[in-house]
Amino acid sequence: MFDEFSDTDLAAYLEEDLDANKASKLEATLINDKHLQDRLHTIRLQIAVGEHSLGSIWRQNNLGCPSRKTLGGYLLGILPNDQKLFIQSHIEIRGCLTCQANLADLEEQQTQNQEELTARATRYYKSSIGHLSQRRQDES
Amino acid sequence: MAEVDKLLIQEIRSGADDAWMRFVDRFSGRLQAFVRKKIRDSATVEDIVQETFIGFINSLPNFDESRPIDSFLFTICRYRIIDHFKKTGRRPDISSLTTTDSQQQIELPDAIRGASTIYRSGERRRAEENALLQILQQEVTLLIENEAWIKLACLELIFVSSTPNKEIAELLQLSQPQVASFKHEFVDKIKRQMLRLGVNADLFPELYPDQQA
Ligand SMILES: [Zn+2]
Repeated sequence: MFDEFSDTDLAAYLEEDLDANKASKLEATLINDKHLQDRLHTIRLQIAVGEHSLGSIWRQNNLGCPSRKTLGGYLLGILPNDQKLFIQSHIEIRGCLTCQANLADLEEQQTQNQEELTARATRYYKSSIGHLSQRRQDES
Repeated sequence: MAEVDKLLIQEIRSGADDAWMRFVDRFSGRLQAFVRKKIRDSATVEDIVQETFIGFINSLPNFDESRPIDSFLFTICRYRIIDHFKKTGRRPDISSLTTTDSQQQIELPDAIRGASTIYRSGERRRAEENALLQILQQEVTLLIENEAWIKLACLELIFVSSTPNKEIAELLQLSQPQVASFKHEFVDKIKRQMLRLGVNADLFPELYPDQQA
Protein backbone atom coordinates (compact mmCIF):
# COMPACT_ATOMS: atom_id res chain seq x y z
CA MET A 1 0.00 0.00 0.00
CA PHE A 2 1.26 3.45 -0.80
CA ASP A 3 0.89 5.96 2.01
CA GLU A 4 0.09 9.43 0.83
CA PHE A 5 2.04 10.88 3.75
CA SER A 6 5.56 9.71 4.53
CA ASP A 7 7.09 9.53 8.00
CA THR A 8 9.15 12.59 7.11
CA ASP A 9 5.93 14.47 6.25
CA LEU A 10 4.42 13.50 9.59
CA ALA A 11 7.53 14.64 11.46
CA ALA A 12 7.51 17.91 9.52
CA TYR A 13 3.86 18.41 10.46
CA LEU A 14 4.59 17.89 14.14
CA GLU A 15 7.52 20.28 13.95
CA GLU A 16 5.45 22.97 12.19
CA ASP A 17 7.63 22.57 9.13
CA LEU A 18 5.19 21.10 6.62
CA ASP A 19 4.02 23.07 3.61
CA ALA A 20 0.57 24.64 4.23
CA ASN A 21 -1.22 22.74 1.44
CA LYS A 22 0.11 19.38 2.55
CA ALA A 23 -0.62 20.22 6.19
CA SER A 24 -4.27 20.97 5.54
CA LYS A 25 -4.62 17.82 3.43
CA LEU A 26 -3.07 15.86 6.27
CA GLU A 27 -5.39 17.39 8.86
CA ALA A 28 -8.42 16.58 6.72
CA THR A 29 -7.28 12.96 6.29
CA LEU A 30 -6.40 12.54 9.97
CA ILE A 31 -9.96 13.03 11.18
CA ASN A 32 -11.18 9.66 9.92
CA ASP A 33 -8.00 7.70 9.35
CA LYS A 34 -7.09 5.62 12.39
CA HIS A 35 -4.00 4.15 10.70
CA LEU A 36 -2.65 7.64 10.02
CA GLN A 37 -3.42 8.72 13.59
CA ASP A 38 -1.41 5.76 14.90
CA ARG A 39 1.50 6.55 12.61
CA LEU A 40 1.47 10.18 13.75
CA HIS A 41 1.53 9.01 17.34
CA THR A 42 4.50 6.75 16.65
CA ILE A 43 6.42 9.57 14.98
CA ARG A 44 5.64 11.83 17.91
CA LEU A 45 7.20 9.32 20.28
CA GLN A 46 10.24 8.96 18.07
CA ILE A 47 10.76 12.73 18.03
CA ALA A 48 10.32 12.85 21.80
CA VAL A 49 13.22 10.40 22.26
CA GLY A 50 15.35 12.24 19.71
CA GLU A 51 15.04 9.94 16.69
CA HIS A 52 14.95 11.51 13.25
CA SER A 53 14.74 10.02 9.79
CA LEU A 54 17.24 10.79 7.03
CA GLY A 55 14.61 13.01 5.40
CA SER A 56 14.03 14.91 8.64
CA ILE A 57 17.75 15.47 9.14
CA TRP A 58 17.95 16.82 5.58
CA ARG A 59 14.96 19.11 6.17
CA GLN A 60 15.85 20.34 9.65
CA ASN A 61 19.29 21.42 8.55
CA ASN A 62 18.09 23.18 5.42
CA LEU A 63 20.43 21.19 3.19
CA GLY A 64 20.38 22.54 -0.33
CA CYS A 65 18.45 25.69 0.58
CA PRO A 66 19.53 28.44 -1.80
CA SER A 67 21.14 31.56 -0.30
CA ARG A 68 19.22 34.83 -0.14
CA LYS A 69 21.35 36.11 -2.99
CA THR A 70 20.39 33.13 -5.15
CA LEU A 71 16.73 33.59 -4.22
CA GLY A 72 17.07 37.20 -5.33
CA GLY A 73 18.39 35.96 -8.66
CA TYR A 74 15.45 33.57 -8.86
CA LEU A 75 13.02 36.46 -8.35
CA LEU A 76 14.76 38.44 -11.08
CA GLY A 77 14.59 35.44 -13.39
CA ILE A 78 18.32 35.47 -14.13
CA LEU A 79 19.25 31.90 -13.09
CA PRO A 80 20.09 29.09 -15.52
CA ASN A 81 17.09 26.87 -16.36
CA ASP A 82 18.10 23.80 -14.36
CA GLN A 83 18.83 25.83 -11.25
CA LYS A 84 15.52 27.64 -11.66
CA LEU A 85 13.74 24.30 -11.87
CA PHE A 86 15.49 23.07 -8.71
CA ILE A 87 14.46 26.17 -6.74
CA GLN A 88 10.91 25.97 -8.04
CA SER A 89 10.71 22.32 -7.04
CA HIS A 90 12.33 23.09 -3.66
CA ILE A 91 9.82 25.82 -2.87
CA GLU A 92 6.64 24.56 -4.47
CA ILE A 93 6.83 20.76 -4.47
CA ARG A 94 9.16 19.94 -1.58
CA GLY A 95 7.51 23.01 0.03
CA CYS A 96 10.45 24.47 1.98
CA LEU A 97 8.86 26.89 4.45
CA THR A 98 12.15 28.67 5.17
CA CYS A 99 12.69 29.53 1.52
CA GLN A 100 9.02 30.44 1.09
CA ALA A 101 9.45 32.92 3.94
CA ASN A 102 12.71 34.30 2.54
CA LEU A 103 11.13 34.75 -0.85
CA ALA A 104 8.07 36.52 0.61
CA ASP A 105 10.39 38.77 2.59
CA LEU A 106 12.48 39.65 -0.48
CA GLU A 107 9.32 40.49 -2.40
CA GLU A 108 8.09 42.63 0.46
CA GLN A 109 11.37 44.54 0.54
CA GLN A 110 10.86 45.46 -3.09
CA THR A 111 7.27 46.58 -2.70
CA GLN A 112 6.95 47.90 0.84
CA ASN A 113 7.97 51.29 1.97
CA GLN A 114 11.39 51.31 3.59
CA GLU A 115 10.27 53.45 6.52
CA GLU A 116 7.66 50.92 7.57
CA LEU A 117 10.21 48.10 7.47
CA THR A 118 12.65 50.11 9.59
CA ALA A 119 9.89 50.98 12.06
CA ARG A 120 9.09 47.28 12.40
CA ALA A 121 12.73 46.34 13.04
CA THR A 122 13.00 49.16 15.58
CA ARG A 123 9.99 47.78 17.47
CA TYR A 124 11.64 44.35 17.70
CA TYR A 125 14.91 45.95 18.72
CA LYS A 126 13.28 47.94 21.51
CA SER A 127 11.34 44.98 22.83
CA SER A 128 14.43 42.76 23.03
CA ILE A 129 17.49 44.95 23.77
CA GLY A 130 16.69 45.14 27.50
CA HIS A 131 16.75 41.38 27.61
CA LEU A 132 20.11 41.26 25.88
CA SER A 133 21.64 43.81 28.30
CA GLN A 134 20.27 41.84 31.24
CA ARG A 135 21.86 38.62 29.92
CA ARG A 136 25.20 40.34 29.49
CA GLN A 137 25.06 41.64 33.07
CA ASP A 138 24.19 38.20 34.39
CA GLU A 139 27.16 36.71 32.59
CA SER A 140 29.76 39.22 33.71
CA MET B 1 28.38 29.85 9.21
CA ALA B 2 29.53 32.68 6.93
CA GLU B 3 32.34 34.91 8.21
CA VAL B 4 30.12 38.01 8.29
CA ASP B 5 27.62 36.16 10.46
CA LYS B 6 30.35 34.98 12.84
CA LEU B 7 31.54 38.55 13.16
CA LEU B 8 28.02 39.80 13.83
CA ILE B 9 27.53 37.21 16.59
CA GLN B 10 30.88 38.17 18.13
CA GLU B 11 29.89 41.84 18.12
CA ILE B 12 26.56 41.04 19.76
CA ARG B 13 28.29 38.93 22.39
CA SER B 14 30.79 41.68 23.12
CA GLY B 15 28.03 44.18 23.77
CA ALA B 16 27.60 46.31 20.65
CA ASP B 17 23.95 47.39 20.67
CA ASP B 18 24.03 48.48 17.04
CA ALA B 19 25.06 44.94 16.11
CA TRP B 20 21.83 43.70 17.71
CA MET B 21 19.89 46.30 15.70
CA ARG B 22 21.53 45.04 12.50
CA PHE B 23 20.70 41.47 13.50
CA VAL B 24 17.04 42.27 14.16
CA ASP B 25 16.78 44.33 10.98
CA ARG B 26 18.24 41.49 8.97
CA PHE B 27 16.11 38.64 10.29
CA SER B 28 12.77 40.14 11.37
CA GLY B 29 11.26 40.26 7.87
CA ARG B 30 11.83 36.60 7.06
CA LEU B 31 10.69 35.46 10.51
CA GLN B 32 7.56 37.52 10.24
CA ALA B 33 6.84 36.11 6.78
CA PHE B 34 7.31 32.61 8.20
CA VAL B 35 4.93 33.08 11.12
CA ARG B 36 2.36 34.87 8.99
CA LYS B 37 1.90 31.71 6.94
CA LYS B 38 0.66 29.93 10.02
CA ILE B 39 -1.00 32.61 12.13
CA ARG B 40 -3.25 35.37 10.83
CA ASP B 41 -3.54 37.68 13.83
CA SER B 42 -0.83 40.29 13.35
CA ALA B 43 -0.34 41.03 17.07
CA THR B 44 0.26 37.32 17.72
CA VAL B 45 2.66 37.18 14.77
CA GLU B 46 4.71 40.02 16.24
CA ASP B 47 4.66 38.39 19.68
CA ILE B 48 6.07 35.18 18.28
CA VAL B 49 8.81 36.94 16.34
CA GLN B 50 9.72 38.88 19.48
CA GLU B 51 9.80 35.66 21.52
CA THR B 52 12.05 34.16 18.85
CA PHE B 53 14.58 36.96 19.26
CA ILE B 54 14.47 36.59 23.03
CA GLY B 55 14.88 32.84 22.64
CA PHE B 56 17.94 33.52 20.50
CA ILE B 57 19.39 35.83 23.19
CA ASN B 58 18.84 33.11 25.78
CA SER B 59 20.66 30.52 23.72
CA LEU B 60 23.48 32.85 22.70
CA PRO B 61 25.93 31.55 25.35
CA ASN B 62 25.85 28.05 23.86
CA PHE B 63 25.06 28.90 20.24
CA ASP B 64 26.94 26.58 17.93
CA GLU B 65 28.70 28.70 15.34
CA SER B 66 28.96 25.87 12.86
CA ARG B 67 25.22 26.16 12.31
CA PRO B 68 23.73 28.77 9.98
CA ILE B 69 21.97 31.52 11.94
CA ASP B 70 18.74 31.47 10.05
CA SER B 71 18.25 27.74 10.29
CA PHE B 72 18.73 28.11 14.05
CA LEU B 73 16.34 31.07 14.27
CA PHE B 74 13.64 29.30 12.28
CA THR B 75 13.93 26.32 14.62
CA ILE B 76 13.38 28.53 17.67
CA CYS B 77 10.50 30.17 15.84
CA ARG B 78 8.83 26.85 15.01
CA TYR B 79 8.98 25.85 18.66
CA ARG B 80 7.38 29.16 19.68
CA ILE B 81 4.60 28.42 17.18
CA ILE B 82 4.18 24.89 18.56
CA ASP B 83 3.89 26.38 22.07
CA HIS B 84 1.34 28.88 20.84
CA PHE B 85 -0.84 26.20 19.26
CA LYS B 86 -0.48 24.09 22.37
CA LYS B 87 -1.75 26.96 24.51
CA THR B 88 -4.64 27.75 22.20
CA GLY B 89 -5.44 24.07 21.71
CA ARG B 90 -5.33 24.17 17.95
CA ARG B 91 -2.93 21.25 17.58
CA PRO B 92 -3.69 18.99 20.52
CA ASP B 93 -1.66 16.19 19.04
CA ILE B 94 1.76 17.66 19.65
CA SER B 95 1.61 18.04 23.40
CA SER B 96 4.57 15.83 24.14
CA LEU B 97 6.84 17.27 21.50
CA THR B 98 8.41 20.10 23.44
CA THR B 99 8.81 18.23 26.70
CA THR B 100 11.09 15.29 27.11
CA ASP B 101 9.15 12.86 29.19
CA SER B 102 11.41 10.04 30.25
CA GLN B 103 8.40 7.80 30.82
CA GLN B 104 7.81 7.66 27.10
CA GLN B 105 11.16 6.10 26.54
CA ILE B 106 10.19 3.19 28.71
CA GLU B 107 6.75 2.72 27.25
CA LEU B 108 7.84 2.57 23.62
CA PRO B 109 6.83 -0.78 22.16
CA ASP B 110 9.62 -2.84 20.63
CA ALA B 111 8.08 -2.72 17.19
CA ILE B 112 8.60 1.04 17.12
CA ARG B 113 12.09 1.00 18.47
CA GLY B 114 13.44 -1.42 15.91
CA ALA B 115 16.29 -3.84 16.02
CA SER B 116 18.81 -1.33 17.25
CA THR B 117 17.31 -0.89 20.71
CA ILE B 118 19.83 -3.01 22.54
CA TYR B 119 22.80 -0.72 22.43
CA ARG B 120 21.19 2.56 21.59
CA SER B 121 21.22 5.40 24.01
CA GLY B 122 20.15 8.93 23.24
CA GLU B 123 23.73 10.05 22.99
CA ARG B 124 24.71 7.27 20.66
CA ARG B 125 21.78 8.07 18.42
CA ARG B 126 22.76 11.74 18.34
CA ALA B 127 26.27 10.81 17.29
CA GLU B 128 24.95 8.58 14.48
CA GLU B 129 22.61 11.31 13.26
CA ASN B 130 25.40 13.85 13.37
CA ALA B 131 27.61 11.62 11.27
CA LEU B 132 24.81 11.14 8.76
CA LEU B 133 24.26 14.91 8.66
CA GLN B 134 27.90 15.47 7.82
CA ILE B 135 27.78 12.93 5.02
CA LEU B 136 24.58 14.41 3.61
CA GLN B 137 25.98 17.92 3.84
CA GLN B 138 29.05 16.87 1.92
CA GLU B 139 27.01 15.16 -0.79
CA VAL B 140 24.59 18.06 -1.21
CA THR B 141 27.47 20.55 -1.36
CA LEU B 142 29.11 18.43 -4.04
CA LEU B 143 25.91 18.37 -6.11
CA ILE B 144 25.63 22.16 -5.83
CA GLU B 145 29.29 22.68 -6.77
CA ASN B 146 28.78 20.47 -9.80
CA GLU B 147 25.57 22.33 -10.64
CA ALA B 148 23.75 19.00 -10.70
CA TRP B 149 20.45 20.76 -10.06
CA ILE B 150 18.13 18.16 -11.52
CA LYS B 151 19.76 15.37 -9.55
CA LEU B 152 19.56 17.47 -6.37
CA ALA B 153 15.88 18.24 -7.01
CA CYS B 154 15.24 14.55 -7.65
CA LEU B 155 16.98 13.38 -4.45
CA GLU B 156 15.27 16.02 -2.36
CA LEU B 157 11.85 15.01 -3.66
CA ILE B 158 12.62 11.35 -2.96
CA PHE B 159 13.98 11.75 0.56
CA VAL B 160 12.40 14.89 1.96
CA SER B 161 8.97 15.06 0.43
CA SER B 162 8.58 11.39 -0.54
CA THR B 163 7.12 12.33 -3.90
CA PRO B 164 6.39 9.18 -5.96
CA ASN B 165 8.98 8.35 -8.64
CA LYS B 166 6.46 8.71 -11.42
CA GLU B 167 5.61 12.26 -10.39
CA ILE B 168 9.27 13.17 -9.98
CA ALA B 169 10.01 11.87 -13.45
CA GLU B 170 7.25 14.03 -14.93
CA LEU B 171 8.20 17.14 -12.98
CA LEU B 172 11.88 16.97 -13.83
CA GLN B 173 11.51 15.44 -17.28
CA LEU B 174 13.43 12.33 -16.36
CA SER B 175 12.63 8.72 -17.10
CA GLN B 176 11.52 6.59 -14.14
CA PRO B 177 14.62 4.36 -14.39
CA GLN B 178 16.75 7.52 -14.19
CA VAL B 179 14.99 8.53 -10.98
CA ALA B 180 15.50 5.05 -9.56
CA SER B 181 19.15 5.03 -10.52
CA PHE B 182 19.81 8.45 -8.90
CA LYS B 183 18.29 7.06 -5.76
CA HIS B 184 20.29 3.83 -5.74
CA GLU B 185 23.54 5.57 -6.52
CA PHE B 186 22.94 8.03 -3.67
CA VAL B 187 21.92 5.37 -1.14
CA ASP B 188 24.98 3.29 -2.02
CA LYS B 189 27.28 6.24 -1.60
CA ILE B 190 25.79 7.24 1.76
CA LYS B 191 25.94 3.67 3.05
CA ARG B 192 29.54 3.26 1.99
CA GLN B 193 30.55 6.43 3.81
CA MET B 194 28.65 5.43 6.91
CA LEU B 195 30.44 2.13 6.91
CA ARG B 196 33.77 3.94 6.63
CA LEU B 197 32.88 6.11 9.63
CA GLY B 198 31.63 3.11 11.57
CA VAL B 199 28.06 4.42 11.68
CA ASN B 200 25.21 1.96 11.76
CA ALA B 201 23.17 2.54 8.60
CA ASP B 202 20.42 0.20 9.88
CA LEU B 203 19.13 3.06 12.00
CA PHE B 204 17.82 4.81 8.91
CA PRO B 205 15.16 2.76 7.12
CA GLU B 206 15.28 5.07 4.10
CA LEU B 207 18.63 3.52 3.26
CA TYR B 208 16.88 0.17 2.87
CA PRO B 209 14.13 1.04 0.40
CA ASP B 210 13.50 -2.56 -0.64
CA GLN B 211 12.44 -3.52 2.85
CA GLN B 212 10.14 -0.57 3.31
CA ALA B 213 7.14 -1.58 1.23
ZN1 LIG C 1 14.77 25.95 1.51
